[in-house]
Amino acid sequence: MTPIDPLDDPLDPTLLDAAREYHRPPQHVPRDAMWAAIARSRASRGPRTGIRPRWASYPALIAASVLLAAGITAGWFAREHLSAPELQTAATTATRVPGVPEGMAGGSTTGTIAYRIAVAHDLTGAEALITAFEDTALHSTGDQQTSDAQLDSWARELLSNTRLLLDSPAGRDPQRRRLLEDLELVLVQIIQVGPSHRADDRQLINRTLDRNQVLTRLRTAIPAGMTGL
Amino acid sequence: MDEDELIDRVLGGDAAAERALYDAHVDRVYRLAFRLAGDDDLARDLTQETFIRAFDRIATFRRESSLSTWLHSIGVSVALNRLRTVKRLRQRELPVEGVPEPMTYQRTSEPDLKQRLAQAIDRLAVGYRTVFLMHDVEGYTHEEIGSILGIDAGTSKAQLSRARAKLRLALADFAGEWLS
Repeated sequence: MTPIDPLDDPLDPTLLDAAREYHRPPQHVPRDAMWAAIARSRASRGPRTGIRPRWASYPALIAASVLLAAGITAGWFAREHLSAPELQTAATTATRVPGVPEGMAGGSTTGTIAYRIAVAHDLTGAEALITAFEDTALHSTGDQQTSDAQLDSWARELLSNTRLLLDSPAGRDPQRRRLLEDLELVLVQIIQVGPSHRADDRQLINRTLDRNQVLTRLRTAIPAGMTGL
Repeated sequence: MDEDELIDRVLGGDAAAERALYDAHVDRVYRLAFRLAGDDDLARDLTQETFIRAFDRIATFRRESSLSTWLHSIGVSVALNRLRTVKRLRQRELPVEGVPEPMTYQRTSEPDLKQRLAQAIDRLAVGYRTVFLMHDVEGYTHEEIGSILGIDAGTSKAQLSRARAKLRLALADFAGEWLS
Protein backbone atom coordinates (compact mmCIF):
# COMPACT_ATOMS: atom_id res chain seq x y z
CA MET A 1 0.00 0.00 0.00
CA THR A 2 1.40 3.40 -0.98
CA PRO A 3 1.93 5.71 2.03
CA ILE A 4 -0.20 8.85 2.01
CA ASP A 5 1.84 12.01 1.48
CA PRO A 6 0.41 14.73 3.75
CA LEU A 7 1.73 17.38 1.35
CA ASP A 8 -0.01 15.88 -1.63
CA ASP A 9 -3.37 17.50 -1.21
CA PRO A 10 -4.51 18.55 -4.69
CA LEU A 11 -7.01 21.30 -5.17
CA ASP A 12 -10.54 20.46 -6.06
CA PRO A 13 -10.93 20.24 -9.87
CA THR A 14 -13.33 23.20 -9.91
CA LEU A 15 -10.78 25.36 -8.16
CA LEU A 16 -8.01 24.06 -10.36
CA ASP A 17 -9.97 24.89 -13.49
CA ALA A 18 -10.53 28.38 -12.17
CA ALA A 19 -6.80 28.68 -11.38
CA ARG A 20 -5.94 27.85 -14.97
CA GLU A 21 -7.79 30.98 -16.02
CA TYR A 22 -5.40 33.10 -13.96
CA HIS A 23 -3.20 35.11 -16.34
CA ARG A 24 -4.08 32.74 -19.15
CA PRO A 25 -1.54 33.24 -21.95
CA PRO A 26 -2.82 33.80 -25.47
CA GLN A 27 -2.89 30.78 -27.77
CA HIS A 28 -0.60 32.46 -30.24
CA VAL A 29 2.94 33.08 -29.03
CA PRO A 30 4.40 36.11 -30.86
CA ARG A 31 7.58 34.25 -31.77
CA ASP A 32 8.66 36.29 -34.76
CA ALA A 33 8.01 39.66 -33.14
CA MET A 34 10.00 38.68 -30.06
CA TRP A 35 12.80 37.25 -32.16
CA ALA A 36 13.02 40.47 -34.14
CA ALA A 37 13.21 42.47 -30.90
CA ILE A 38 15.93 40.17 -29.55
CA ALA A 39 17.95 40.55 -32.75
CA ARG A 40 17.57 44.35 -32.65
CA SER A 41 18.59 44.55 -29.04
CA ARG A 42 21.64 42.34 -29.51
CA ALA A 43 22.70 44.26 -32.58
CA SER A 44 22.36 47.62 -30.84
CA ARG A 45 24.49 46.59 -27.89
CA GLY A 46 27.44 45.27 -29.80
CA PRO A 47 30.47 47.23 -30.94
CA ARG A 48 29.78 46.37 -34.53
CA THR A 49 26.95 48.89 -34.96
CA GLY A 50 27.26 52.43 -36.18
CA ILE A 51 26.60 53.84 -32.75
CA ARG A 52 29.33 56.16 -31.63
CA PRO A 53 31.20 55.07 -28.54
CA ARG A 54 29.39 56.61 -25.62
CA TRP A 55 32.53 58.15 -24.22
CA ALA A 56 32.92 60.07 -27.46
CA SER A 57 29.35 61.32 -27.27
CA TYR A 58 29.37 63.15 -23.98
CA PRO A 59 32.53 65.13 -23.32
CA ALA A 60 30.71 67.29 -20.78
CA LEU A 61 29.59 64.21 -18.95
CA ILE A 62 33.13 62.86 -18.82
CA ALA A 63 34.31 66.17 -17.41
CA ALA A 64 31.50 66.11 -14.87
CA SER A 65 32.37 62.58 -13.80
CA VAL A 66 36.03 63.44 -13.34
CA LEU A 67 35.11 66.53 -11.39
CA LEU A 68 32.67 64.59 -9.28
CA ALA A 69 35.25 61.95 -8.42
CA ALA A 70 37.83 64.64 -7.64
CA GLY A 71 35.35 66.52 -5.47
CA ILE A 72 34.39 63.50 -3.46
CA THR A 73 38.01 62.45 -3.01
CA ALA A 74 38.97 65.96 -1.95
CA GLY A 75 36.10 66.11 0.50
CA TRP A 76 36.96 62.84 2.14
CA PHE A 77 40.66 63.64 2.15
CA ALA A 78 40.08 66.96 3.84
CA ARG A 79 37.82 65.46 6.44
CA GLU A 80 40.30 62.68 7.21
CA HIS A 81 43.53 64.69 7.22
CA LEU A 82 42.84 68.27 8.23
CA SER A 83 42.37 69.44 11.79
CA ALA A 84 39.18 71.23 12.81
CA PRO A 85 40.70 74.75 12.78
CA GLU A 86 42.19 74.09 9.34
CA LEU A 87 38.82 72.93 8.08
CA GLN A 88 37.14 76.02 9.48
CA THR A 89 39.72 78.26 7.83
CA ALA A 90 39.35 76.44 4.53
CA ALA A 91 35.61 76.78 4.67
CA THR A 92 35.59 80.45 5.50
CA THR A 93 38.25 81.46 3.02
CA ALA A 94 37.03 79.34 0.14
CA THR A 95 36.66 81.32 -3.04
CA ARG A 96 33.18 81.59 -4.40
CA VAL A 97 32.79 80.00 -7.79
CA PRO A 98 30.96 82.23 -10.28
CA GLY A 99 27.52 80.90 -10.97
CA VAL A 100 27.37 78.72 -7.90
CA PRO A 101 25.31 80.51 -5.31
CA GLU A 102 25.69 80.16 -1.59
CA GLY A 103 22.31 78.49 -1.45
CA MET A 104 23.86 75.41 -2.98
CA ALA A 105 25.90 74.77 0.13
CA GLY A 106 24.90 71.74 2.10
CA GLY A 107 26.19 72.75 5.49
CA SER A 108 29.36 70.67 5.26
CA THR A 109 32.53 72.52 6.08
CA THR A 110 34.72 70.46 3.76
CA GLY A 111 35.00 70.31 0.05
CA THR A 112 31.75 72.24 -0.30
CA ILE A 113 32.71 73.99 -3.49
CA ALA A 114 33.74 70.79 -5.22
CA TYR A 115 30.50 69.16 -4.13
CA ARG A 116 28.45 72.13 -5.26
CA ILE A 117 30.05 72.02 -8.69
CA ALA A 118 29.58 68.28 -8.90
CA VAL A 119 25.91 68.59 -7.94
CA ALA A 120 25.40 71.38 -10.44
CA HIS A 121 27.00 69.29 -13.19
CA ASP A 122 24.85 66.32 -12.30
CA LEU A 123 21.66 68.36 -12.28
CA THR A 124 22.56 70.08 -15.54
CA GLY A 125 23.15 66.71 -17.18
CA ALA A 126 19.90 65.37 -15.75
CA GLU A 127 17.90 68.28 -17.09
CA ALA A 128 19.40 67.77 -20.54
CA LEU A 129 18.71 64.05 -20.40
CA ILE A 130 15.09 64.44 -19.35
CA THR A 131 14.53 67.04 -22.04
CA ALA A 132 16.11 64.71 -24.60
CA PHE A 133 14.01 61.81 -23.34
CA GLU A 134 10.80 63.77 -23.69
CA ASP A 135 11.85 64.95 -27.10
CA THR A 136 12.66 61.40 -28.22
CA ALA A 137 9.30 60.20 -26.94
CA LEU A 138 7.51 62.87 -28.91
CA HIS A 139 9.48 62.72 -32.13
CA SER A 140 10.46 59.20 -33.13
CA THR A 141 12.96 59.20 -35.96
CA GLY A 142 14.43 56.63 -38.28
CA ASP A 143 17.53 56.52 -36.13
CA GLN A 144 15.49 55.70 -33.05
CA GLN A 145 17.61 52.74 -32.02
CA THR A 146 20.79 54.79 -31.86
CA SER A 147 19.02 57.49 -29.93
CA ASP A 148 17.59 54.99 -27.44
CA ALA A 149 20.99 53.40 -26.88
CA GLN A 150 22.57 56.77 -26.27
CA LEU A 151 19.85 57.84 -23.87
CA ASP A 152 20.26 54.58 -22.01
CA SER A 153 24.01 54.89 -21.58
CA TRP A 154 23.66 58.56 -20.68
CA ALA A 155 21.05 57.74 -18.03
CA ARG A 156 23.29 55.03 -16.58
CA GLU A 157 26.19 57.47 -16.25
CA LEU A 158 23.98 60.01 -14.54
CA LEU A 159 22.46 57.42 -12.25
CA SER A 160 25.87 56.34 -11.10
CA ASN A 161 26.87 59.97 -10.45
CA THR A 162 23.61 60.71 -8.67
CA ARG A 163 24.09 57.74 -6.36
CA LEU A 164 27.63 58.82 -5.61
CA LEU A 165 26.31 62.25 -4.67
CA LEU A 166 23.57 60.76 -2.49
CA ASP A 167 26.24 58.89 -0.56
CA SER A 168 28.46 61.94 -0.30
CA PRO A 169 28.12 64.97 2.01
CA ALA A 170 26.27 66.62 -0.87
CA GLY A 171 23.35 64.37 -0.05
CA ARG A 172 23.06 65.59 3.54
CA ASP A 173 21.06 68.66 2.73
CA PRO A 174 17.43 67.43 3.03
CA GLN A 175 16.08 69.48 0.15
CA ARG A 176 18.88 68.51 -2.20
CA ARG A 177 18.63 64.90 -1.07
CA ARG A 178 14.93 64.77 -1.97
CA LEU A 179 15.69 66.16 -5.40
CA LEU A 180 18.52 63.66 -5.96
CA GLU A 181 16.28 60.80 -4.80
CA ASP A 182 13.51 61.82 -7.17
CA LEU A 183 16.07 62.16 -9.91
CA GLU A 184 17.38 58.68 -9.10
CA LEU A 185 13.87 57.26 -9.48
CA VAL A 186 13.35 58.95 -12.84
CA LEU A 187 16.72 57.73 -14.11
CA VAL A 188 15.97 54.18 -13.01
CA GLN A 189 12.64 54.36 -14.83
CA ILE A 190 14.24 55.70 -17.99
CA ILE A 191 16.79 52.89 -17.93
CA GLN A 192 14.12 50.29 -17.26
CA VAL A 193 11.78 51.24 -20.07
CA GLY A 194 14.63 50.47 -22.40
CA PRO A 195 14.54 50.92 -26.12
CA SER A 196 10.85 50.07 -26.44
CA HIS A 197 9.63 53.27 -24.77
CA ARG A 198 6.15 51.87 -24.47
CA ALA A 199 3.37 54.36 -23.94
CA ASP A 200 2.42 53.15 -20.46
CA ASP A 201 6.05 53.21 -19.33
CA ARG A 202 6.45 56.73 -20.62
CA GLN A 203 3.28 57.65 -18.82
CA LEU A 204 4.73 56.29 -15.57
CA ILE A 205 7.84 58.40 -16.00
CA ASN A 206 5.85 61.46 -16.96
CA ARG A 207 3.71 61.02 -13.85
CA THR A 208 6.82 60.94 -11.68
CA LEU A 209 8.15 64.01 -13.42
CA ASP A 210 4.87 65.90 -13.10
CA ARG A 211 3.95 64.86 -9.60
CA ASN A 212 7.33 65.61 -8.15
CA GLN A 213 7.91 68.62 -10.39
CA VAL A 214 11.35 67.22 -11.05
CA LEU A 215 12.17 69.33 -14.07
CA THR A 216 11.09 72.56 -12.40
CA ARG A 217 13.06 71.76 -9.26
CA LEU A 218 16.09 70.80 -11.35
CA ARG A 219 15.97 74.10 -13.20
CA THR A 220 15.60 76.00 -9.97
CA ALA A 221 18.53 74.18 -8.41
CA ILE A 222 20.86 74.72 -11.36
CA PRO A 223 22.74 77.96 -10.84
CA ALA A 224 22.73 80.51 -13.63
CA GLY A 225 25.72 80.10 -15.90
CA MET A 226 25.95 76.35 -15.41
CA THR A 227 23.67 75.36 -18.30
CA GLY A 228 25.27 74.33 -21.55
CA LEU A 229 28.25 72.72 -19.88
CA MET B 1 20.11 17.56 -34.02
CA ASP B 2 20.56 16.86 -30.31
CA GLU B 3 20.84 19.56 -27.68
CA ASP B 4 24.62 19.35 -27.27
CA GLU B 5 25.15 19.75 -30.99
CA LEU B 6 22.74 22.67 -31.07
CA ILE B 7 24.59 24.39 -28.24
CA ASP B 8 27.93 23.79 -29.95
CA ARG B 9 26.63 25.40 -33.10
CA VAL B 10 25.28 28.38 -31.16
CA LEU B 11 28.68 28.75 -29.52
CA GLY B 12 30.21 28.68 -32.98
CA GLY B 13 28.09 31.67 -34.01
CA ASP B 14 25.56 29.80 -36.14
CA ALA B 15 22.53 32.11 -36.43
CA ALA B 16 20.24 29.32 -37.63
CA ALA B 17 21.10 27.29 -34.54
CA GLU B 18 20.26 30.28 -32.34
CA ARG B 19 16.86 30.49 -33.96
CA ALA B 20 16.35 26.73 -33.60
CA LEU B 21 17.20 26.91 -29.92
CA TYR B 22 14.82 29.82 -29.51
CA ASP B 23 12.00 28.06 -31.34
CA ALA B 24 12.43 24.96 -29.23
CA HIS B 25 11.94 26.78 -25.93
CA VAL B 26 10.23 30.10 -26.46
CA ASP B 27 6.64 28.95 -26.10
CA ARG B 28 7.13 27.54 -22.63
CA VAL B 29 9.26 30.45 -21.47
CA TYR B 30 6.68 32.93 -22.73
CA ARG B 31 3.78 31.04 -21.16
CA LEU B 32 5.46 31.06 -17.78
CA ALA B 33 6.39 34.74 -18.13
CA PHE B 34 2.78 35.52 -18.96
CA ARG B 35 1.48 33.55 -15.99
CA LEU B 36 3.78 35.49 -13.71
CA ALA B 37 3.30 38.90 -15.28
CA GLY B 38 -0.31 38.77 -16.49
CA ASP B 39 0.46 41.23 -19.24
CA ASP B 40 1.41 40.56 -22.85
CA ASP B 41 3.85 43.45 -23.25
CA LEU B 42 5.61 42.59 -20.04
CA ALA B 43 5.66 38.87 -20.85
CA ARG B 44 7.26 39.68 -24.22
CA ASP B 45 9.88 41.87 -22.57
CA LEU B 46 10.67 39.19 -20.03
CA THR B 47 10.94 36.50 -22.68
CA GLN B 48 13.18 38.65 -24.84
CA GLU B 49 15.39 39.53 -21.91
CA THR B 50 15.63 35.85 -21.01
CA PHE B 51 16.90 34.86 -24.44
CA ILE B 52 19.22 37.85 -24.72
CA ARG B 53 20.84 36.87 -21.44
CA ALA B 54 20.89 33.22 -22.41
CA PHE B 55 22.71 33.92 -25.68
CA ASP B 56 25.11 36.22 -23.85
CA ARG B 57 25.93 33.58 -21.28
CA ILE B 58 25.59 30.34 -23.15
CA ALA B 59 29.35 29.79 -22.96
CA THR B 60 28.93 29.49 -19.19
CA PHE B 61 26.23 26.79 -19.47
CA ARG B 62 27.90 23.71 -17.99
CA ARG B 63 25.40 21.19 -19.35
CA GLU B 64 24.85 19.71 -15.89
CA SER B 65 21.13 20.40 -16.19
CA SER B 66 18.97 20.46 -19.29
CA LEU B 67 19.04 23.54 -21.45
CA SER B 68 15.35 24.02 -20.70
CA THR B 69 15.99 24.11 -16.96
CA TRP B 70 18.83 26.56 -17.42
CA LEU B 71 16.74 28.83 -19.65
CA HIS B 72 13.83 28.71 -17.24
CA SER B 73 16.03 29.58 -14.30
CA ILE B 74 17.14 32.69 -16.19
CA GLY B 75 13.54 33.40 -17.14
CA VAL B 76 12.16 33.12 -13.62
CA SER B 77 14.98 35.21 -12.22
CA VAL B 78 14.41 37.93 -14.85
CA ALA B 79 10.66 37.85 -14.24
CA LEU B 80 10.76 38.00 -10.46
CA ASN B 81 13.34 40.78 -10.43
CA ARG B 82 11.43 42.84 -12.94
CA LEU B 83 8.06 42.27 -11.28
CA ARG B 84 9.51 43.30 -7.93
CA THR B 85 10.76 46.52 -9.46
CA VAL B 86 7.53 47.20 -11.32
CA LYS B 87 5.53 46.63 -8.13
CA ARG B 88 7.80 48.94 -6.14
CA LEU B 89 7.65 51.68 -8.74
CA ARG B 90 3.89 51.44 -9.11
CA GLN B 91 3.41 51.53 -5.36
CA ARG B 92 5.53 54.67 -5.21
CA GLU B 93 3.41 56.14 -7.96
CA LEU B 94 0.02 55.34 -6.44
CA PRO B 95 -1.50 58.06 -4.29
CA VAL B 96 -1.90 56.90 -0.73
CA GLU B 97 -5.64 56.60 -1.00
CA GLY B 98 -5.22 54.40 -4.09
CA VAL B 99 -3.13 51.72 -2.40
CA PRO B 100 -5.32 48.72 -1.62
CA GLU B 101 -5.12 47.49 1.93
CA PRO B 102 -3.83 43.93 1.90
CA MET B 103 -6.01 41.22 3.38
CA THR B 104 -8.94 43.49 4.12
CA TYR B 105 -11.24 42.04 1.54
CA GLN B 106 -14.89 42.31 2.36
CA ARG B 107 -17.45 40.40 0.46
CA THR B 108 -19.66 43.32 -0.39
CA SER B 109 -20.75 41.89 -3.72
CA GLU B 110 -20.64 38.47 -5.29
CA PRO B 111 -17.56 38.35 -7.47
CA ASP B 112 -17.30 35.05 -9.19
CA LEU B 113 -14.96 32.32 -8.13
CA LYS B 114 -12.33 33.10 -10.77
CA GLN B 115 -12.07 36.70 -9.71
CA ARG B 116 -11.78 35.83 -6.04
CA LEU B 117 -9.25 33.14 -6.80
CA ALA B 118 -7.20 35.56 -8.89
CA GLN B 119 -7.17 38.02 -5.99
CA ALA B 120 -6.11 35.25 -3.62
CA ILE B 121 -3.31 34.15 -5.97
CA ASP B 122 -2.13 37.76 -6.23
CA ARG B 123 -1.92 37.94 -2.46
CA LEU B 124 0.23 34.82 -2.14
CA ALA B 125 3.86 35.37 -1.24
CA VAL B 126 5.92 35.41 -4.41
CA GLY B 127 7.59 32.05 -3.68
CA TYR B 128 4.28 30.30 -3.06
CA ARG B 129 2.69 31.92 -6.07
CA THR B 130 5.54 30.93 -8.36
CA VAL B 131 5.50 27.30 -7.24
CA PHE B 132 1.70 27.14 -7.43
CA LEU B 133 1.59 28.56 -10.95
CA MET B 134 4.43 26.37 -12.15
CA HIS B 135 3.07 23.13 -10.69
CA ASP B 136 -0.71 23.31 -10.60
CA VAL B 137 -1.26 25.64 -13.52
CA GLU B 138 1.60 24.98 -15.93
CA GLY B 139 2.34 21.37 -15.00
CA TYR B 140 6.03 21.51 -14.04
CA THR B 141 7.22 18.72 -11.75
CA HIS B 142 8.63 19.44 -8.31
CA GLU B 143 12.03 18.28 -9.56
CA GLU B 144 11.90 20.76 -12.43
CA ILE B 145 10.72 23.55 -10.16
CA GLY B 146 13.44 22.74 -7.66
CA SER B 147 16.14 22.92 -10.34
CA ILE B 148 14.74 26.11 -11.84
CA LEU B 149 14.27 27.96 -8.55
CA GLY B 150 17.37 26.51 -6.89
CA ILE B 151 15.42 24.83 -4.08
CA ASP B 152 14.87 21.20 -3.06
CA ALA B 153 12.00 19.35 -4.64
CA GLY B 154 10.72 18.81 -1.08
CA THR B 155 10.69 22.57 -0.47
CA SER B 156 8.74 23.05 -3.66
CA LYS B 157 6.24 20.47 -2.48
CA ALA B 158 5.91 22.12 0.93
CA GLN B 159 5.46 25.57 -0.61
CA LEU B 160 2.79 24.24 -2.94
CA SER B 161 0.94 22.68 -0.04
CA ARG B 162 0.99 25.97 1.87
CA ALA B 163 -0.10 27.89 -1.22
CA ARG B 164 -3.06 25.58 -1.70
CA ALA B 165 -3.99 25.88 1.97
CA LYS B 166 -3.94 29.66 1.77
CA LEU B 167 -6.09 29.61 -1.36
CA ARG B 168 -8.60 27.27 0.26
CA LEU B 169 -8.73 29.53 3.29
CA ALA B 170 -9.16 32.65 1.18
CA LEU B 171 -12.03 31.02 -0.67
CA ALA B 172 -13.63 29.29 2.28
CA ASP B 173 -16.97 30.95 1.66
CA PHE B 174 -17.06 29.39 -1.78
CA ALA B 175 -16.35 25.90 -0.44
CA GLY B 176 -19.92 24.74 -0.95
CA GLU B 177 -19.64 25.43 -4.66
CA TRP B 178 -16.71 23.14 -5.28
CA LEU B 179 -17.42 20.55 -2.63
CA SER B 180 -20.98 20.00 -3.78
